[in-house]
Amino acid sequence: MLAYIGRRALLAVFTVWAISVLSFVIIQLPPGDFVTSYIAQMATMGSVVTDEEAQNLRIQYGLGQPIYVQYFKWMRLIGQGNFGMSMEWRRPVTEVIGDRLWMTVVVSVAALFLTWVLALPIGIYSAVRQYSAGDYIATLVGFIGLAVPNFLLALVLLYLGFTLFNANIGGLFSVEFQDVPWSSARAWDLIKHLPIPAMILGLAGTAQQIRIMRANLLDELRKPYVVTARSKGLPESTVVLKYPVRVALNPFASTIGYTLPYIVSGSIIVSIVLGLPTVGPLLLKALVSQDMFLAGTIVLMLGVMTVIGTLISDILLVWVDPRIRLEDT
Amino acid sequence: MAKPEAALDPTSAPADRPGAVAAAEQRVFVASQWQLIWWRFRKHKVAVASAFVVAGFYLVVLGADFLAYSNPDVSEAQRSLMPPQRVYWFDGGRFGPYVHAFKGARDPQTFKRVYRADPGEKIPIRFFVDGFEYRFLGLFPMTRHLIGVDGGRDAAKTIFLLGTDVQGRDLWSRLMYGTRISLTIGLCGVTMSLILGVVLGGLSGFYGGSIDTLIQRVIEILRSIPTIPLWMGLAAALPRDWSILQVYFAITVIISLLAWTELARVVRGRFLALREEDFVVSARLVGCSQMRTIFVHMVPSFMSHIIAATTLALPAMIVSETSLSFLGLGLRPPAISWGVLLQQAQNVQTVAISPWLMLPAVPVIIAVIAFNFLGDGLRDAADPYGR
Amino acid sequence: MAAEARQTLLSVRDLRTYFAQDEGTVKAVDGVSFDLYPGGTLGIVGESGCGKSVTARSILGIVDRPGRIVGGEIRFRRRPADGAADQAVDLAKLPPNGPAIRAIRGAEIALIFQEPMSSFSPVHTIGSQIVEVIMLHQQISRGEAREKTIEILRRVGVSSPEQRIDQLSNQLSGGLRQRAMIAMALSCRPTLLIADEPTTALDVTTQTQILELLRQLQREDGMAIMLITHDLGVVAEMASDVAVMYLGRVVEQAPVDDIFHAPRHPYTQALLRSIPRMRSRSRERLNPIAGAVPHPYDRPSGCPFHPRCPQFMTGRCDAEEPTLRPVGDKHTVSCFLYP
Repeated sequence: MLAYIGRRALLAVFTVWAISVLSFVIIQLPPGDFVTSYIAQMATMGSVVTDEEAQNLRIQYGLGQPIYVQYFKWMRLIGQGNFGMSMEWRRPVTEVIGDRLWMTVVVSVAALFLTWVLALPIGIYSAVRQYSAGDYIATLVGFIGLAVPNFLLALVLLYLGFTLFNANIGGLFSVEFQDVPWSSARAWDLIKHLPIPAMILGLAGTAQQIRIMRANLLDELRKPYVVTARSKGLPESTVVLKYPVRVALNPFASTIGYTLPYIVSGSIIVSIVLGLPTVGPLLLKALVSQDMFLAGTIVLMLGVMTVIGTLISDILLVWVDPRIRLEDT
Repeated sequence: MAKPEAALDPTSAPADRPGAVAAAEQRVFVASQWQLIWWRFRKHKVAVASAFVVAGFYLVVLGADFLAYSNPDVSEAQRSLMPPQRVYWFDGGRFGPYVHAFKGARDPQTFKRVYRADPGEKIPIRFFVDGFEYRFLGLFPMTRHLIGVDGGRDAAKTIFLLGTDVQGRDLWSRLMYGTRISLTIGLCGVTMSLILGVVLGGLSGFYGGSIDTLIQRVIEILRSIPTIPLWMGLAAALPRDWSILQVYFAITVIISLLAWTELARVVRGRFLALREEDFVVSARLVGCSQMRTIFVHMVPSFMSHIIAATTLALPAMIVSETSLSFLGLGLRPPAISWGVLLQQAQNVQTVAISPWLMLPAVPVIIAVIAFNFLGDGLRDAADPYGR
Repeated sequence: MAAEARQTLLSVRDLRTYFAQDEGTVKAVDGVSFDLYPGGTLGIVGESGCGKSVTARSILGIVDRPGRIVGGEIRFRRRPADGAADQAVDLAKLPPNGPAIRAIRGAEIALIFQEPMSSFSPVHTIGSQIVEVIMLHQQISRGEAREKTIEILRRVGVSSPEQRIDQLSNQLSGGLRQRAMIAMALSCRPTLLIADEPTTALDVTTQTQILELLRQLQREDGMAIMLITHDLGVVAEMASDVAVMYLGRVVEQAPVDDIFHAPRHPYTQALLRSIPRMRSRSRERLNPIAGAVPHPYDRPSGCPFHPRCPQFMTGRCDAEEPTLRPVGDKHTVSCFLYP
């Protein structure tokens, strides 16, 4: 088991490294010298950057040197907690991002949680009552979830909410809680606003997981050990829930890890449509105005967050599947 | 005589004709692989229906100019944000579709343009009329369109089946052209993913060992990265002064860079499974070269799987391009795609007043559903152990 | 007849289990009748697909959907609760998966299968699965159930049962798994053990051991065994009575000696003839049964065996269905040769 976790952790480290390289590429892509545009930006504000400061910045970021040197310097700065300056906001990137990353985490986790909570029982029901009305409805709804891109769904729901109920379903907080410090009231307000974004984000993943659970459970239900359980005199519900569901849970749990990148990805566009205070809208603005350190840092943080989440779900998988615990390889 | 579908399932012959069962089974035994796949595919009514829908989409791609009636690039502020016009199908008892002309006026209180239908002025809808000039298939100059009005060359007198956008351009016509780009970008992207996926997946599965491990790890890493932020970042970096075509291909490349992993996994899985099959081993033992073994013996076994996986990868491509363009980072005007069209529907206030701007979402959804069903049907039909 | 009902443990009369498919109805069990005596071993023999397994499952009421028992009766004499009189119940009439039949499953009638590999859940320990059935039918604590489990594992010959009890099924060899399966079946001391091809998946040496184990357990507990197999050698070794099945019907039932030495039904005779003999001359042709088993949707009219029967009588065998008639002491045959 330790070997398994070790392998996943090692892979996570490599993935983080790959993401950092890609984020760096994104930062470097637009033409122009970062320091030059920084000086120009400062000038519009009326403040002057001295030659000495400019030179320090150039050394700090390794400008003029080979690209891999620049990369290392950037990584070193990150190690010190310095993620660069946002051109547009004229503040350190970390300040600009602020709470938003945590909001992204909250929304993504809520969507993931919803996926689990919905997909498992619906998948089980669909398999056990195959071809029943409930099965068809679940398949249909699941199908819509897979077919309709999540941001379109968000758009349509926004429209319906606006015109039919005169309510704005976007945003994560009511007006009165928007910029106030944290309190349990604010937390409760957040929770009240979470279901709709979580559902929109999680719908495709839920549909996917329902299909997986249903298919796997159908396979397992045909196996001899289910007949054994029944022949021992166990009640039908125990026969199904204790045995084949338990076995079908393994492939189900192992694929959940891969819905996380998809959810995080989707949250970007959905939060733009719904106007959520997450990193999504911030990223778009940053890219449009070529505020590269902000954009690159967001990409980096999103990636790292996803990898950590996937690693956690891999570790949880070990808890679910005893066969991995006993493996040596 | 038993139908081929019945032949596939020998148990469906009635009991009082024992001979029929045997004869039908014979047909199954001598059918080629593609025939078997075709027969099984036909049983999936939904998949067959989806195939028709997909074919319909690609017909639109070919004949977009013919189906549009309004030059998609001509803007006309006077007609900004017109709602769809209601079509009346019968004129005085006979079949003769027409619409009422819209008179636009500026509402004195809100300063917004308001349109009212004028029942006095009927504009009949004609079929196969003259309209703006275009080049069919890029080669033949033509002026005939499927729908239009009399005196169609005059851009002022025309119909607006789905309303207009902010710049007064007819949505129906733009939708036709948008279909062309959205669907072909999907094809290009999928082709690129296919090449990458088959090559890398094939190397991985066929040779195994350290190559396999390396490629596997790369695939796993790519799968764990959230794609949209990456695409956004790469797409935003495209220079503003690139032509539409350059942007088009760049977007395709960007999307395929991350999408090839699924296909590679399928190919690798197939190769791994096939490697152990007896018929492959015997091909090697008989003396076939590696190239021959791969292309003559192994590839035909999983061609059908590849086709199915490719079909299933298309909707993802279409949605990716639509998402990027919707955000303004993908294709940009004057290019027209479903995503570009949806860009106008970005905020709720605009959409609340002009809900028809959301209509381009409909073909996206239909296309995704159709491709998914089609791909599912193909995959089930191709699987020799299915059912 | 009342006297016989008191004697038999299980009495099946005209059992019919049909499967309703889209393409038609498969009559997997189409009029099966046999008797099983307490402490005796009934061997049910037949080719693959003749309905042996479905019969076993019908008795316990665990036929896979879309199969259903559509007719007949399964009279089972229940174990009397202390002091009470014997009680016979018709298993076919009990509500499916209801508490009545579930109280019998595992406790009074137990089932062991052909595939010990997949008969245990891959993610639960062997011990937990045995403890479960004990605690289901007996009012004892978990600790006591665990003790009993170790005891029964030891009884069936599983070495170091204290360790094995916490292992997963994939950590045991085929033979050990089958023993564990037998332990699980016997844990509540059933009066009837149904063994569905218990040795088919095992190698010959293990086969002998398992059969010996079954015989020994039967001697110790006095339970009846219904042994389903297609292997006539196993039948000869184990059974006291034999029922031969073909295409969902019992065509002959008799004590084992009579079946082997005085078979009456042409199918039984053909089966015995087809067994290769050790002492036959070399290069002698085998004697297969002519023809092939008919397609389930293509059932022949009249006697199901008539297309392959060497003593086929036109006009009779293809027109009417024969029923089981007595031809000797405890020997019944379903054939028009014995009207």
